Amino acid sequence: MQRLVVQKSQYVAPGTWKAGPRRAPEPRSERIEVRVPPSLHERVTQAAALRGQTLAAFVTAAVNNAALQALEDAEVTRLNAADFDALMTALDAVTEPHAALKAAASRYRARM
Amino acid sequence: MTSSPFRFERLAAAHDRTGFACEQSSLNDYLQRYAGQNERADLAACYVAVAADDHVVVGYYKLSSHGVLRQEVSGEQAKGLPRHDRIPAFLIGRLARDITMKGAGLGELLLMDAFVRLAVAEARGRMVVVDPLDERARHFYEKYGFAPLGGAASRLFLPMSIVRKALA
Repeated sequence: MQRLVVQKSQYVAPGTWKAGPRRAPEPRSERIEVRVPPSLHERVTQAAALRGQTLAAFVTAAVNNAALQALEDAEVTRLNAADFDALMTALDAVTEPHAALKAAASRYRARM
Repeated sequence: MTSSPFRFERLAAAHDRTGFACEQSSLNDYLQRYAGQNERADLAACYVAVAADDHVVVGYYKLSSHGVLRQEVSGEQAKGLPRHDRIPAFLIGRLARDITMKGAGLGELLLMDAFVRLAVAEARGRMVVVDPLDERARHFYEKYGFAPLGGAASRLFLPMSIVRKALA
């Protein structure tokens, strides 16, 4: 088994950030360490080389993107304009609950 | 009208969740390993059902705030940021009951308990969104009137106005 080791905080390319009112970048003080099969280690190493990145920079960026995506998926649903507008219409319509829903609410009241 | 066999409470240290088992292992793992972490990070609130005279968790659900966004795809995109409209919503991210409770109607009670909590919440939400893991779960929600949220997503929604009417 191989290990992929990544330091926490974003990769900052040399000379790309300036001193100013902004906070100094976080120290790369944390490690994410996972055991992976050799085939995955080899694939990631090749992919990083294709991008011209170090393994650490590649894994850090990929993990950060995956994390942002997971957080976004939990927080929002994105709809295209037509679906969104149809949803607005559905929300504004005056509709009665299904019989099954009314029955379930009655059972809840009776049991709780 | 007998006294309830269950209590519904916010997940706390006193609750015994070590033996919880439903048909989906990801739902078991979530309760046992991650629910507490998300509570502490204020990412989601977890509510559990326990037998009336016990601390053993026999069911749970997870609530969080959610938003539905309108995605503009037009020539305007080139001009800069896409324009968004946002509808506030509530997400029932997970809902599960222990295998030993199969047929006891606990899934339905968990859903109704979530509805009651959301109906009295100070937070604004125009709909409840759910994210069913499989066809069985999808059918469970559709039975109560949940409809597809958009054409592509696997998520379903139910307007809060309908929830309130059902509870009234």
